[in-house]
Amino acid sequence: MKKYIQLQFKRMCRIMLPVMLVAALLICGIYAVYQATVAKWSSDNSTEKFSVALVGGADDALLRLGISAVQTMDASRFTIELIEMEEQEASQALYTGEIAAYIVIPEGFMDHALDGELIPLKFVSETGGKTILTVVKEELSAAVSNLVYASEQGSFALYDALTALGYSEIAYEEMNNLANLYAGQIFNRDDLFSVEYIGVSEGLDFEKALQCGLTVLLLMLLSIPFAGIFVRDSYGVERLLCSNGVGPLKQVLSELLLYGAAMLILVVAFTWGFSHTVIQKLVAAIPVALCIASFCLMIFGITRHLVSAVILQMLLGVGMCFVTGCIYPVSFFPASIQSIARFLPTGVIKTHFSGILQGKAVLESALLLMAFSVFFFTVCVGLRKYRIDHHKGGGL
Amino acid sequence: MEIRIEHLSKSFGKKQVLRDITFSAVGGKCIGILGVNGCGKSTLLSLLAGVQRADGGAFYFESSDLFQDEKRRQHLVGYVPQGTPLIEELNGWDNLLLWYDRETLKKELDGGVLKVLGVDAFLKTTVSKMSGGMKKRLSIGCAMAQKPPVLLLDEPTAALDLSVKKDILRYLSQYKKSRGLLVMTSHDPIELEMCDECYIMREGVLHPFAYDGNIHTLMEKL
Repeated sequence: MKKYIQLQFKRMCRIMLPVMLVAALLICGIYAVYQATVAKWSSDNSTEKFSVALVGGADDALLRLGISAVQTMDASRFTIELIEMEEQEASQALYTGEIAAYIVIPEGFMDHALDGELIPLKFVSETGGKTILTVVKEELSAAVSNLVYASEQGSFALYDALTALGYSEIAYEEMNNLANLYAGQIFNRDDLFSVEYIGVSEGLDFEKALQCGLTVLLLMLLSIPFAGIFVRDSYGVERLLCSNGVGPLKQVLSELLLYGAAMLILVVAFTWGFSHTVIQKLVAAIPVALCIASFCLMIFGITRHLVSAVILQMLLGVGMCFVTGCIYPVSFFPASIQSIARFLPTGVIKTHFSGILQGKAVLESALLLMAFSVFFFTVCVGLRKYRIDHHKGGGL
Repeated sequence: MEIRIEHLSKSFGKKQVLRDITFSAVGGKCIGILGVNGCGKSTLLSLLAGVQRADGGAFYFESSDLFQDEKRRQHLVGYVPQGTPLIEELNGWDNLLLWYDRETLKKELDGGVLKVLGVDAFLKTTVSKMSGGMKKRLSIGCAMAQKPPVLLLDEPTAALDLSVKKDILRYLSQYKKSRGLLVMTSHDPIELEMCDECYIMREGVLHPFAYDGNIHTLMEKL
């Protein structure tokens, strides 16, 4: 067994150069995807402005003043651009995607508001279905209408009260002060609350979730070049080893130890920044390395030809990574797929990495990965025994 | 030196591949096992080589049952499987190191069995670049690491050209002359010429067969 490990090590050393080249290419490619995705996400979330059209109310001087104030002073000016349009024009623009929504200001809206009568604004958006977004939009348009109505009512009520009490000389000034206070509160609403994005995966923000996912994908892809060593169409050496007392169990164990060690180096290298001490890094990486190595050995055992092994490994690796949210957030998939994804090896590895990144205990995911490794190892031994027993020989 | 195989049987699921196989042979002889493809010849050698376990029966070397003494079997029985038991991307030297320790290997290459096989001539050649004859000689070299008195060969010269066949058979004759016992499966009349006793396997049962060099009689019997 020792000689077999030494020989496999020698074979592994010989393919190190291609492995390193593939690794370099993959790292460059995946890093480019990571940077592009993060950059797009950042720009989507920070610089892109939503265009909202305003229909009607253009003749009202007070309303124009309000719109001008919103566009120059309000915090929403960084994310929302207000454009004045006719309703037909706005409807067409909404259809073509030029604007995200339009607000219809009813005829005499301000006059009625000054008289203390509320006429609701109409908010027209592109989404017809009832989603959280439409609910928020409906709530928002109602809140804005009510806010304008209530603040106007409050201002006039103060004016009326002060006049009735004989303070008519200061009534107009106090009404204006109150109106300014309302406006100030609305314009400074950022100080009243903060929005926190809890992320797209297991409590991680977008960048870290993507980092975890792409690391899993990278490791799955990096395991492919080892197919050159472990895929065989003839089991002559294995039969002879068997005849000399090195049975399927010892053979697969030797290969797993060596392949696992190579994967361990890769896992530690690519998750170096995830945890602090070397011990932590190793303890966290061992279950992952063993799981990936045993999974790949199983694939190499199923297939007998290098090309089919590489294709199968690529399809399974990328497919599992996709389904488990390593490439695309898992929250976008149906609930049934999300439940399955949680128990796929790549899903467990991603959860494991997420836990390490957040400094959580990862015992559960580590045990699950070890259980996967034992299962894959057992299948590998069974397959090896089958291949040895059903050896068809082959020519020279 | 004598081997005796008694009441050997093997099944794969419901299919019985070998039924009550019994024969014996002494040192310096060559036993040929003939039969159509899939009749169980390779399975018989696999069982004797310890690659698979027999369902029943015994394999005696002198008086000890080698099925019960794995270590002794490994020492006494050499096995050359069909195809090549070699690692393609390594050279001859590396492949031999799997079976020999470094010192013994050097000694065997200097004037031992590997020298006789001519393996020293292509020691640094990668297996994938070797000819069929080189691979077969190297395979026999690997099987001879323990210098076993019994050598099992599964179609040893299949797919080799005539001159290479002649070289391999010359070496096997030398082995036989040194009181080695050969058990080989074969389809090849040239190989059968060096066999002292032949058996035909039909439906898992071994039948004695006297090969007289007439290929037509052989084909009828198969």
